[in-house]
Order: sequence, then structure tokens, then C-alpha cells
Amino acid sequence: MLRQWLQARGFGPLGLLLWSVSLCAWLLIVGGDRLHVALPLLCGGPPNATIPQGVFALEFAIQTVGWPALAGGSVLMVIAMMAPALAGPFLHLWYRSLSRHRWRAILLFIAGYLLIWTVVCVFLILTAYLLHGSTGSELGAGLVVAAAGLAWQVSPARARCLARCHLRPRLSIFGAAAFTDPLLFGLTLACWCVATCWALMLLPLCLADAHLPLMAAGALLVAIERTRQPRPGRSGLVFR
Amino acid sequence: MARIRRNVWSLAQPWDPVLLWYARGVQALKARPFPDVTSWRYLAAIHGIEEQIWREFGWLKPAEHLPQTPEFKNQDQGQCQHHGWYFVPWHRGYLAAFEAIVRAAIAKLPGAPADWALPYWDYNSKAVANPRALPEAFAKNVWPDGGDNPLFDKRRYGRGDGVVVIRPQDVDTKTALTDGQFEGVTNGSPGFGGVRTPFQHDADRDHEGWLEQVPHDVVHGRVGGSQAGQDPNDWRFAGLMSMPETAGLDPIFWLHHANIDRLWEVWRKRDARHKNPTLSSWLNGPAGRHKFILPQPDGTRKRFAPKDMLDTTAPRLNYVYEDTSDPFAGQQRLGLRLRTLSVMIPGAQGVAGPEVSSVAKKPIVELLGANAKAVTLSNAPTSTTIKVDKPTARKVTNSFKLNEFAARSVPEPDRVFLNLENITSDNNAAVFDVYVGLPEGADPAAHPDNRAGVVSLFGARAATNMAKPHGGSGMTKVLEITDTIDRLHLSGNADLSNLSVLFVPVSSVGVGGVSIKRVSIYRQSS
Repeated sequence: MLRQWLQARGFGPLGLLLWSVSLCAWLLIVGGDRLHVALPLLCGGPPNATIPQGVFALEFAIQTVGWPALAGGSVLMVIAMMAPALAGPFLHLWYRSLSRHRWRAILLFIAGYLLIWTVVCVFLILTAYLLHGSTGSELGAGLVVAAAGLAWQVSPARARCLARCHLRPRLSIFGAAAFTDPLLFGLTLACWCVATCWALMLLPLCLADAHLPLMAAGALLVAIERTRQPRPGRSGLVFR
Repeated sequence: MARIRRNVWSLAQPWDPVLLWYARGVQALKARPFPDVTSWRYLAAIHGIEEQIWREFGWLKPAEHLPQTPEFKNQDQGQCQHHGWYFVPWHRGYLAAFEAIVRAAIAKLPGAPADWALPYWDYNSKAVANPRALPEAFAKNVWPDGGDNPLFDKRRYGRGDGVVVIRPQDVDTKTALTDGQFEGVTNGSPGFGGVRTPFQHDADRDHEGWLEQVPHDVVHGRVGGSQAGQDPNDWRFAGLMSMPETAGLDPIFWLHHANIDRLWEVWRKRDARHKNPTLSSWLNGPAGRHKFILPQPDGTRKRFAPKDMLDTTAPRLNYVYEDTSDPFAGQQRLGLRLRTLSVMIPGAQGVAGPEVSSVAKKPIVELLGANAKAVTLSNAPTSTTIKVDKPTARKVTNSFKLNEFAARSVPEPDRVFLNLENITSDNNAAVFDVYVGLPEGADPAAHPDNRAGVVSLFGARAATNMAKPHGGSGMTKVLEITDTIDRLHLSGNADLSNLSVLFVPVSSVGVGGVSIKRVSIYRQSS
């Protein structure tokens, strides 16, 4: 009964697995990964902060907590927020790959996907740093991102980006293309995810004190959006 | 007493009272304003609507707007269910709502019959020489009451010049009716009724069942067609029936769907083992916010779920079909295959096997091979070659354990399915035949055994639109090629490591108008 109820709502075995992976990432973050410890240092720019200052702060943070910890923290954040939204792409890779190559295809996809997000996280951190400096406070930076994010959230352009997140490309099964196609799928999908969800990622970085609750809210929005069947002819509003 | 839906070909031609009253009912509905939930346009928009197309085709005047009610905007428009397991129950509810509204409209006219029921277009009827021709009441713009015939529409292009030509193979119901499973699986057999999906409108178009593919899709494409001499990829020249966004505007749509609904009854009744899904997610579906809800004759709207559509004689539906006899005399897919195998395999004459496969557990479906790059179809036959993965092919070979099979101790040998993945096209009316394993240069017409089936791209334009929620992923079609593979496999003469696939256009495809991202084959083991 519970199984049917869950499946009818899109929580099949894969969905439950991805939610579990997300939960594990959350536990590690809450347990105190070093990126989140260093967030106030990373994202708290001085008044009239400049890009070189931001880069310097990043370098300082790397020296302080180490780049593996920062990169790992970024990856954890992406996994915690995005894993439940990846059921569709994983199923595409699973069904459209030779059975002995299914895991390889999924790992290549994940590599491409995380690569883009990790690079983007650096830019988002820099952006949070500069916004903090220019507005003079976390709250100011948060309000700017919230306003820009809300405008983006309801725009038709974002709806088109969200639609691209459902694009399922051709996957070759022989030759070099059998390796590059899943990788390119991960890279491409991550770009559309970034275009769709940048505000949901940036907001928690700006408001370090409310970082985790905002991340959780963002993760919930992402999961709802990606797994629900949107109605035709609508704008980019999340709740429809 | 339940009303009887009659075969259009068993009615007096061209203007039997059933058809004449249907025309009067259509005329009454067409006269109602769009915001009226019982109007012709509102009912058609429930199936699908695109404002730009409706304006271009004259169904929305320049000064008119789409209904502004929250019900229309949030729930009613674009509700139709395709490419999934809700296809047949949703359309049954849709048809019943339409029929009740037409009956109520007729009842206001003097001399109206109280038991009027929607007729169905049986394109396989034995009652006339060519049941696949459009009934005359729909084909000419004349009718007994004078003026424009409400059942006629000039945007019914057929083969291009307004003449509807449907081949017997376009409406071959054998694959659908002889498959004992309602629910199918992704990439493998889609079953009679389709693969499990959520509420399915403008979503992934990968999961349509056998019935939806043939005859449903093909009849849409062959009736609607596109205007001869014009670009078939330009929607402005497409017929109403060719596009889901306009199909409900054509009066023949409802007779076509009545036949599709009848075929569900035929499938269910032809074998006691043919069962509708019993899962709560189907019976009470769909889950989530979007429910099935349709107008009633009194202007209210009423919700329904598939569980309300199971018995056509229940008070809510209250109809039966004139003919639900079995056109295939009890034949079943598995039984037919076993008979074929028993002829082909020396020493396996005793093979009988179960007539209907019992699928206690979900079958294993896995990729067996694929072509090297995307294929673009043109108006000339186009071919591609599928390279088969040898380790997976060995599994197929090993599934033919004939001695044990004859003793019924192992399941059916693997079935094989051709997948045409992520087809994108702006040409909704494109129809093409697909052949597999043809020798190079062979005339496809001389090799009917190699014909895998017919594909219609009804709905392809919306599936290609990158602004839609599916991101323009296109549609995927699945054709069973088990019989052909059995023959090639067991003949020992065919090279199955490289399988040729030939696409032969039946209607105008247009230049570069159809792209198939990947052509692949899957094995399905029970």
C-alpha cells in the first residue's frame, strides 16, 4: 500500500535512493563540512569589494581550509540540493545504455554534471562576496538576490531553461561517442540546471546565518519542479 | 436500458437519422459561444489548443479571446492523455461527456430521439467494400437541412487533395488486440494500453500503447493529412485531425475515438485473461493536483477516474457497442508466435506453450544494439544500420532453449523491439512504413514479412517544441520485430550483427522534416 502510494507520487526505488543520497549529503553538511564553516569568510566582502579582493579571499580560504575541503563542500551542496532532481536523467542513461555500461554512463554523466556545478560555485561565492561588499550586509545581499531571483523565477526565459532540463539526448553505444555522449549530457544538463537554479544556490551563500534552512527550501523547490508534470501554457512560476 | 453505439457502416448512407441528428447536434454546439463549457470549441480545446493555430484557422476571431475562467486556464484546456496508460480511460470519459452534451442539445429540437448515441467508424467493418473511406455524410459539404454541412470540414486533407485514403495495414488491430497485457514497459512491449505514467499532457512522449499507435495515430494522420503542394512541415497547411491541438474540432474525431473506445471493449471481452490494470495508481489516478474533469450538459464540471470507466453499462456511461465480436477468433500473440516457431524449428512441432504470457514479475528489457548517428528522413526511402552488441545478442540466442521450451519448462524466448527514439518533426501528418532486415536494394513491397509496422507522427510538432515542458525531446515509437528476428535468426542465413532498417514514406515527409535521434533494438525477456 505504502509502496503504491509512493510510486504514484513519483517515489519509485530510484527516487527513494536519490532522496537517501541527498539526505546523506545533508547529514555531512550539518555535521560541519569545512566549506560551510568557511562561508562567512568566503562570502563576507568588505565595503566596495572588488573582484581581485574576492579572488584573494577565495585564495585565503583555500589556504585556510584547503581546496579539497572547499571543492568537496561545493559538491556536497550540489548533491544535497540536486540529487532528487536527477531521477529522469539517470533513467534515461540506464535504459538507453548497454546493460554492462549503465554504471559507467551514469558516472560519466555525474562527472560532467559536478564539474560544471563546482566551477559555477566558485563564481557564485565570488558574486556573494561582491554583493555583500556593495550592499554592506548579508541581509542587503540576500535581498538583492531574492529580488533578482524572484523576477527570474517567474520569467518565461527561466521556464524555457527548466524545459531544457528535461531534454534527453541521443546516447551512442559504440566507440568514443559511448564515453563522450554521457559526459556531454552531464555538462549540458548542468548548464541548464545552473541557468534555472542559480538564484536558489546564490541566496544561501549570501545569507550565511540562514544558509542551511535556505538550502533546504531551495532543494525542496528544485525537487518539486523537476518531478511534477507542469501544466501547458504557463509561466515559470514554481507553484502551479 | 443502455444506449447502443452503432457502426457508421451499418447505418443508412449517407444520412441515416443517427448521423442527421449528430449533424444537428454539432451545429447547435458550434453556435454556442466559446466560454460556454458545452460549446463545440470549449470541448475541442479540452483535447488541445494552441491560440495561434486556432486564430490562423479561423476558430478564434480577431476580436475573440480564449476563455478567461480559472477552470479553463488551470484545468480544462489541454487535458487529453496520450502516450501513457491513461489514454483509453481518459478518452472514454471525454467521449461520454461529449455524447451527453450532444444528446442534450438534440433533445431541445423537435422530433429528437431520446436514445441517440454516438456512432463509431469501424474502418475494418465487413459491412461495406471500403470501410476505410470517409463516410459520405462527412465528405461533402451538403446535407438535408441545407446550408453548410456541420460534419464537413475543408481542413481534412487526407492524401493531400481532400480524399481520405487509408490502407488496410494502417488500421491493422492485430498487434493491439492479441497482446494480453494492458500495461507495458519502457523500450519493450508497450502493451495494449501503454506504459505507466503520471498525468500526461505535453510531457514525455515515449510510452504509448499498441492501440494508440495503430490504428489511433495513423488514422489521425491519414485523415488530417496536409495540403498537397505545400510544405508539410508548416502547420498552416496541416489538417485538423493531424494535430492534437485541433483534432477535436473535426466531427469525424468523435467517431474515430468511439471506435478506439470500442476496441478497448473488444480487447477486454475477447479473452477472460485480458484484464485492465488493478493498481490503485491507475484506478484512482492520476495522482497529484491534476485530475480528470469534464463538462456536463447542465454546464457543471464533473471529476472522474479510470475506475469510473470500466463498465460502459454503468449508469454514468450507459452504452454498449453494436459489435464487439473478436476479429481474430481467439488468437493470441504468444500462441501465434509459438505456432510460427514450431513450423520453423525441426523437432519442435510439439511446442504449444501458454496462449497468454503471465507476467508475474516485470520483464527484463535491455538494449541490444543501435545505429551510429541520427537519421533524417526524406520523401525517398531512407535506411540506417543497427550494429548489434554481441554479448547481449548471445542472450537472445540462448533464450531459444527449444527442448525445454517445448516441455514448457522455460519462458518464451526473448522478444525484440525496434525503438525509434526522440523523433522530432514539425510534420504531424507524416506517416511512414518501417522495414527491418531487408537485403540491400530489395523492393520493400516484395518483402511484407520484413515490414515492422507503420508510424504516424501525430503530436510530433508539440513534442519537438523546445519551449514545452519536455524540452523538445521528441517522441519515441516502439515496434515489435520479434517475428522478423525469429525468421532471420532461425534461417541461419542472415547477418544479425548489422541489421538494416528502411523507412518508406507513406505520406509526404517533406525535406529534412523528420529526424530520428537514435534507432535501436531492445530485447525483452519474460
